[in-house]
Amino acid sequence: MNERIRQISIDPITRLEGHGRIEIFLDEDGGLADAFFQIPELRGFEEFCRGRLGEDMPQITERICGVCPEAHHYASVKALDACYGAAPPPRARALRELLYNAYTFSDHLLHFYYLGGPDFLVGPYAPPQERNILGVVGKVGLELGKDVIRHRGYGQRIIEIIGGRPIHPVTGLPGGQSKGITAEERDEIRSMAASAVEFATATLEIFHRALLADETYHRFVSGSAHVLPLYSMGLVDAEGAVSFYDGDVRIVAPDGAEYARVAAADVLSLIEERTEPWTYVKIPYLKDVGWKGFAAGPDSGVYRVGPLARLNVCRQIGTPRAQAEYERYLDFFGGGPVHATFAYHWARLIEMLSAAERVATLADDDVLMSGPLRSPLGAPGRGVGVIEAARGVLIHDYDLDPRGRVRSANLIVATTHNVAAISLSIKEMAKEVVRDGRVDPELLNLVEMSFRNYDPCLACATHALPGEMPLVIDVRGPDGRVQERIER
Amino acid sequence: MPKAKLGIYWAAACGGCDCSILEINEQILDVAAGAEILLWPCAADAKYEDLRNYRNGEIDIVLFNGAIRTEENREIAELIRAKAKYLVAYGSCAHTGGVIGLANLSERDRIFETVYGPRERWPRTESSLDGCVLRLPAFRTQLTPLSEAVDVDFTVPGCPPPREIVRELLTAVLSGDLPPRGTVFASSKNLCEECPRERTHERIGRILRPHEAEPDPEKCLLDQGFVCMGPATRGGCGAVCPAANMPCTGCAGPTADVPDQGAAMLNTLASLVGAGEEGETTMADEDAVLMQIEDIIGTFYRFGAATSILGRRYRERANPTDLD
Repeated sequence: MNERIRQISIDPITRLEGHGRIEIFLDEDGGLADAFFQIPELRGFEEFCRGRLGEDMPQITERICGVCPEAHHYASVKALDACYGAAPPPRARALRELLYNAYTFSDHLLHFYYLGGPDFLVGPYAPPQERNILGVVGKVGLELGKDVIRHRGYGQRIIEIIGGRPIHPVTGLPGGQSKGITAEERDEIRSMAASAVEFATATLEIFHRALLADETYHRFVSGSAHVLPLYSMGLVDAEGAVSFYDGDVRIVAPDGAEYARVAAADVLSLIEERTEPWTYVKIPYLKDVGWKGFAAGPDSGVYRVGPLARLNVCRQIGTPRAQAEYERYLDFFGGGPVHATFAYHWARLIEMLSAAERVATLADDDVLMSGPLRSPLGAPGRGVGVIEAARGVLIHDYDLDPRGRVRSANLIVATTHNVAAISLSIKEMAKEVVRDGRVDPELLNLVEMSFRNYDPCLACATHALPGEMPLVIDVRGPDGRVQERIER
Repeated sequence: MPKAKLGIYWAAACGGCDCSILEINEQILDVAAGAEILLWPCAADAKYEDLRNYRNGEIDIVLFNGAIRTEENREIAELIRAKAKYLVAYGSCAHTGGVIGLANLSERDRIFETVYGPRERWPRTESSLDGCVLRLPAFRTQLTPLSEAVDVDFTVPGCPPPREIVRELLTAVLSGDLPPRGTVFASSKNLCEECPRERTHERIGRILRPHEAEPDPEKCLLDQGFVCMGPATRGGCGAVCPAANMPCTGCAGPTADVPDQGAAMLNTLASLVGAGEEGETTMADEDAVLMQIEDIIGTFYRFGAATSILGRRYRERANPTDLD
């Protein structure tokens, strides 16, 4: 591909969830003209969720994403809690949080060893057929490879025990859970959790040895080329610690100053979205800062979510081992907020350790074993559920009719928040790899590495109506009958 | 024995099917040892260009998950069909259209209006920005399962396919000992055959929704009034949802001898509802029990709206604007 070229397609982009492609255009001087991150898929959940039964939504919306179904399942369940005015009893809440942290552990593990990590564990310039989990196993050895597979299995097994199935769990209900766990299952969870904490700790050692000490990664994470000073958004608990299952939304400016801290349901009022004719995804931004194009800095409303952003909005991690690693992370960057895009990998592993620690703590709590599993429900209405998906803030917002059917469903999905930032990162890397009208095909993987930082989930991304609060206007004739219904 | 050449692909899908392959845990290492993976966008770096460069029939078997939603899905399905000796419809979306088949109840324009707002804001199949021409695949008017786009050799039902069935499939792939074309990797019987709950065929006097009451964990959910799709659904998963105190939602599709899952379920339910003595006088009361099912489509055709014999006829009635 060494002749002069005008357009380069990476299609499909790989080692992520969902469909995406990158189009790189060269100008007449052979430099980068522009680069586009396109999402060529749409399924239409927003439309066919209308008319469904509220209690079916956790199992319908989790089919938006089979990599993070737990995030949709519980964002949905929490929205239903709010719709029915029914907080789950302590036992159900503990079961949910336990499952949820197991999911966060398992999902972050998946990204490091299967999706984004192989670029460094196997090497960015390794043959494409080796840049995958099997290449990782080849590189780190069969024993550690088996450990990786076993611990991903542990996360999935905990999800299966509490959720009824390892993928697409079924046990979340408005105001509770459909089942508890047995004493044997709890013992099984405890022993898996203890092992997961050690494995996550060992994974961070691998990170220091294989990534931070690696010349390419070190250059990407500590150089000035892949730094995007953007707003960050994430959930924090009352103590300002990272919180995956529940919390307030906190947004900080590129300099780290607090921009907003609001109850999760109110985040909708801070965001606006735009469409572009060349992609099926919509692009949100902070409304009051405004859309200044695909640009970074304090005047651009582009913001990020996910591990890097969560570690920028929190004041602490909330678990001891992960806190120690977080301090090491801050030391490396000379304090927060951190805007080096490649630091997503490190932040993700700190969260993976924290999630494992939380699983261990939650599994020790006797509240899991007794007490009611369901709270009494009120009359159905409007409700918002917010949760930290592995990839960032996820919001489900439902309006149920008096019979508990969905009048409208509004979803704000993790990867969608990051679409503008991903576009910026891709363009930045494309600028680096396009030289005098030539692109070495080996270098194209670097462009893909720039999006893999975000662990994007593009199946999720196309299902969002950011910033559009459901609105229904009935136009009635003189006889009071509805003549026209306007919805947005 | 030469390594089997394997492909795994997703069309309109959620990624759960891809993850279901990882659910075999350590057996994935046997797959690595016994198969060469020529395509797997979720986990490996082969591109469409590589796929186009393979010879026809070069890939031994492709596990294809996802439905045909966009023109790109259809084109890639045709390309994969040409390159693969065997093609597997893997998971609900490829098999029966899946949850996303519910989109067939709405016109394409309505879906776009709901998602993007007014027409001027819709994505376009071709657009130009400062001389850069960008294309998007068209969104087809109707979603179809894989078998309506190309010939399919094997089917693996489930959303996603359960672990033991995935093991069975991959064992067959690795050994090269594949069953006859047309084989469905699942039980030929319905879910009730493998359900641990006790069924007494009690008359149903009231339909219950899962959040309305806590079911008895030993008794059949249908007997208790919960609409469990077990009788109309193919077994093979071990009845994991009823075991978790939740009704079966029918993800594995209809049993072998039934053409339409929802019709079969309605038939079963109609025979179970009772309002006192049998006979014509109670028929209206029995109808009233059935009318308590608030969302017929979402309940009976959760995973099969795209392949139901009812087809588009439900579209008008299911239009949510008559939800007053």
